[in-house]
Amino acid sequence: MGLKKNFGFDIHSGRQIDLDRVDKALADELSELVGAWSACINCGSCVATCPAAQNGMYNFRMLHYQIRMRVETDYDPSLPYIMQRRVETDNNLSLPYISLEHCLLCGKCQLVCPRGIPTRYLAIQIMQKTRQHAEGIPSV
Amino acid sequence: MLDTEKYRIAVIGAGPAGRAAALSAATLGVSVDWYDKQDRAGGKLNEYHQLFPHRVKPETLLSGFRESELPAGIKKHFGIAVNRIETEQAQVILLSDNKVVGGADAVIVATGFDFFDARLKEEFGYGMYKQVITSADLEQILKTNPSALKKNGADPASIAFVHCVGSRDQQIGIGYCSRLCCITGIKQAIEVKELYPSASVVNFYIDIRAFGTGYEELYREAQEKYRIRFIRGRVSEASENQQYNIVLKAEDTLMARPLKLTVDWLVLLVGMVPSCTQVELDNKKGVDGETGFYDLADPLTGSRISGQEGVFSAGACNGPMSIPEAIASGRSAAMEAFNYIHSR
Amino acid sequence: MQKVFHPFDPFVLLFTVGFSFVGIFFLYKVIRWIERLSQGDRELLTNNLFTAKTWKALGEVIRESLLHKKIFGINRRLGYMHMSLAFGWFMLILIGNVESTYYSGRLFKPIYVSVFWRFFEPGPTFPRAAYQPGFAFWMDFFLLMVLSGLALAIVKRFRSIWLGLKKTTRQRPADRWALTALWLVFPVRLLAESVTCGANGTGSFLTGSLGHLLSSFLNLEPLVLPLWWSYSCVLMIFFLCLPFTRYAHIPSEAVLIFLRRYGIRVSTESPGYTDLSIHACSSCGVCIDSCQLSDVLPGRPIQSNYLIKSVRHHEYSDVQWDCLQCGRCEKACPVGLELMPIRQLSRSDMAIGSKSTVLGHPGLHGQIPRVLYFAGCMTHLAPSVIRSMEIIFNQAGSTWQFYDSDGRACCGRPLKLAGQTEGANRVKEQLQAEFLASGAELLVTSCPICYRMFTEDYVLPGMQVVHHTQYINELLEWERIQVIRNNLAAAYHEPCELGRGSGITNEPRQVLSRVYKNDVTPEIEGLCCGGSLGAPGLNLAARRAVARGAYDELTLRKPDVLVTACPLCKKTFSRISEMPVLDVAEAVATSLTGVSAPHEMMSLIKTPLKQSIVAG
Repeated sequence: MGLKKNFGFDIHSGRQIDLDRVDKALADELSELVGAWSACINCGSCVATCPAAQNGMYNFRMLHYQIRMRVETDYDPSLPYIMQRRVETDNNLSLPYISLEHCLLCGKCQLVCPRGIPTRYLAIQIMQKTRQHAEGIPSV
Repeated sequence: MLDTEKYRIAVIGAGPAGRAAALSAATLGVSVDWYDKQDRAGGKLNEYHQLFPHRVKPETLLSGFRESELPAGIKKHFGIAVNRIETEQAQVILLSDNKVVGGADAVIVATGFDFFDARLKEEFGYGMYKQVITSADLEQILKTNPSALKKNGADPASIAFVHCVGSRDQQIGIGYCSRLCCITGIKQAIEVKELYPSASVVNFYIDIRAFGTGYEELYREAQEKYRIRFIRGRVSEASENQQYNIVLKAEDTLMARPLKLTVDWLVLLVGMVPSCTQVELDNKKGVDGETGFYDLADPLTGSRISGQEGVFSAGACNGPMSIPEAIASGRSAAMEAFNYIHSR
Repeated sequence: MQKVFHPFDPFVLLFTVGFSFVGIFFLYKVIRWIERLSQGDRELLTNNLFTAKTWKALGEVIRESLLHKKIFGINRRLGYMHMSLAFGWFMLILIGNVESTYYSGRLFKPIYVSVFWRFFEPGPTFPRAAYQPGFAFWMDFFLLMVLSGLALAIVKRFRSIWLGLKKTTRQRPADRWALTALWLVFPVRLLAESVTCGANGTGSFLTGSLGHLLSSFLNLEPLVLPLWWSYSCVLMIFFLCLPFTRYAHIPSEAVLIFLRRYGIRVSTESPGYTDLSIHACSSCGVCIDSCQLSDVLPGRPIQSNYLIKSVRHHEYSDVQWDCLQCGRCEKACPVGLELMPIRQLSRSDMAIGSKSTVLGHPGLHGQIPRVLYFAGCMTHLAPSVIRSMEIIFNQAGSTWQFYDSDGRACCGRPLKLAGQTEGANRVKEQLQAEFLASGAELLVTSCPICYRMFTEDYVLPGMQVVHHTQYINELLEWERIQVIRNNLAAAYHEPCELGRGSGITNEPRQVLSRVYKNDVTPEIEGLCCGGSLGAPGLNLAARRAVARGAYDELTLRKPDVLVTACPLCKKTFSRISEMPVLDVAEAVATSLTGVSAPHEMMSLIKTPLKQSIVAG
């Protein structure tokens, strides 16, 4: 659909999450491994205490929530899901993906989670599953 | 005519639930032995400043607790802490420190609740930082000495409330919701704002549980009329700065960004836990292993404690509940205790 | 010798095949292990081979591989069981060889001759028979010793508690084959030798008596050959299984002892040594017994011997992530295997490189501090420790600065423990540079995990690193601060990373003895609180159960307070404790003399909690 005129912005498919179409395979796999993950109420204690969250745009809660919602827009198919780089914009609200590369694995999130979710384990499993994803290793 | 004067019902606890139970039982004509560990009736009602949702003073209820208003069949045994119950041949025996203090055909336990000890959430620094208090502490301050909130003679500039302290928290082993802390937080935020209109008041919450009649309306009033800010995000820890103010760390989950705030006062909305002076039951049955509250045999319709005969319970000792709920529960327990004796 | 000596019978071939197989296989393994050592480790081997270390290693092989001294220390019956099998069998082989050499006059003969000597020479028919009864006696003696050990081993399978172990190891099929064969070897040998002695009227108190008994109601001649065939057969089966089962530890352990004496350790550069270590595990089960999770999660194959088995068979399992990495198994292991590094290495295989960084700090301001305080990320969730250190630093008049006051830093060890070495190194490089740039001489930390990272991995020339218990101990000894002694009894919980992990065991106790009148710490190997993040997947219920078990042991002698030196331990025990749980720093800060302002913290610990948390 070649556009000849430069409007000054890119055409995206829209920011609406199409829940009819999302692929929940990775989320289902992680739910099997870390059962308590489904109990997350998005209270934000994890991010509140996270040392890495203060250092950059890393937000662990949004990261794993995005896996659950499997947001489809702004997706770079050449990279595995969780290694999608963040987009540098002035309006730093439009960050579809957050990478786990900043996690210090310190475990403070796990110590404060009121639902008792093993968040550090979740982080390790996400790292592992996406590595397997990247190397083409079947994840089961 | 029923020979109900011969029926004896013991009521342990003189808070809202216990009083309702004692009065209802007396109305039915039975003799009531009414116990409380304190020397006066009212329980925690004596400590509150205003009651939600309409912010009435507890004195309006407490006035009904005076001696002269009590019906004839009630005998008061205040200042006695019943801590164990034994059943023997269809009689209930009441013990205080292994000494028998009374007996009855049926007993209604209404020992109420305690506030969660906030020292167990040490990351908030309660007991260590002077500017960190609980909602119970604040209620006392508002009732007896509201100017204690001033700092060095000046009005406080900012106050933060943290919801869910000691509730819904697996880290300290309390999984349930205490139901009433949210509305307490809303009420107290309004009270503080009325006292110090120039102060910034912020409530940090996970969910706002404003389920009761008039609760949601009070929430709206807090937002619109009093401009109290509600931020969706749980505070993970607090620290003290050089000026002895409290620095909070939270996440604004709706913005998906970590947040820092410095306040003069941090108020912890503490949950409700079973009373430390809860009555120990025969063969130790009837207490929920997870929560410590009493376990009802038929929680949907009855007040009898499971595993016990002739032992009924009412009020917050069954789980977090509000004053109107506790009063209704007390009346209902009295009816059930009466029927139990009557049908024997 | 006049007699022509060509002992042979076809049955010996079975044994010979099995034995040769083991010999060749093992030789191949040793070559591969040494091949896969790093250059440095190979040099250690060649440089130390002809030194006194070799003799020391030999001594250790006798002490541990044969006599199993360490296991005797764990439980006498268990020690005897292992010793009798190992030492007894060794002596049978040794004496058998001496006997057959003496009587055949040949030093070099086919390997099977001394093994089946009793078949070839049931009784001496040539000169120097005088010693025969002596040899026969000792052979019987050691055979009886082995058989008694075997009986204990059978009992252990069914009633392990009688030998001091709460649980036995669960075996794989190959192990079961080898076990059955091994258990048959000596009874069959007993029968074969007894029947032969019975048929020839020879033998000593065991074989002779049994043979005599059997001959009284059986015709023994036709039984001789079948029994020796059986003996040879079970030996063969055992040897064929050996390299693939736990019994590979028999030759491997000896090699391990030598290489370890030469200074070689488990590392990523020497996979040969790691492989050797894995083969040296005898699956004795002592690690299972020392593991607190074996009670809390019975049947779950978390413990070290299960890990070693799965690594050996190239299986990956999430179960191994439930290990608390507390180190109790490593301390208890009779073979002295480096179980912690082995587990660490197995985790490294599974991780992707993290690119974690720590944001630079705004910079330390003001004068160059002498002391840099690093609370540790988790200590911020136990702020009473930080408050206590502030009070102590100020009271002692130290020039200090709080490096991580904003709680943004992490030492990097949690990354390392999860196998993310690249990420850990990045964090390390950054913090290391900042520490050195501060100009401080002393780095004090409140977290044992950070302490280990700083001392083991960080390179901080000119900077001394101490844990706060060491620092406080120094302050007290130099009387820069003074404390009153409370009339209370205290029990000290030694954090895994501080005690076993870093060797800091005395300083905390010394500090406590100044602050509390009675030390009622139980004299047991330090327990794990269960809060360890080394087991990231472990659920809260299991952790609480571990904490509860440890708490019950620690408070056996009824202390008034429980004291620890790690923020994670403090938080873990606080949740279940019915008494105050204090950090050493808190105990000291609330007992300081000469402090003007009253501590708010006094109310924190002096007023008892009105409730304890209902277990859930």
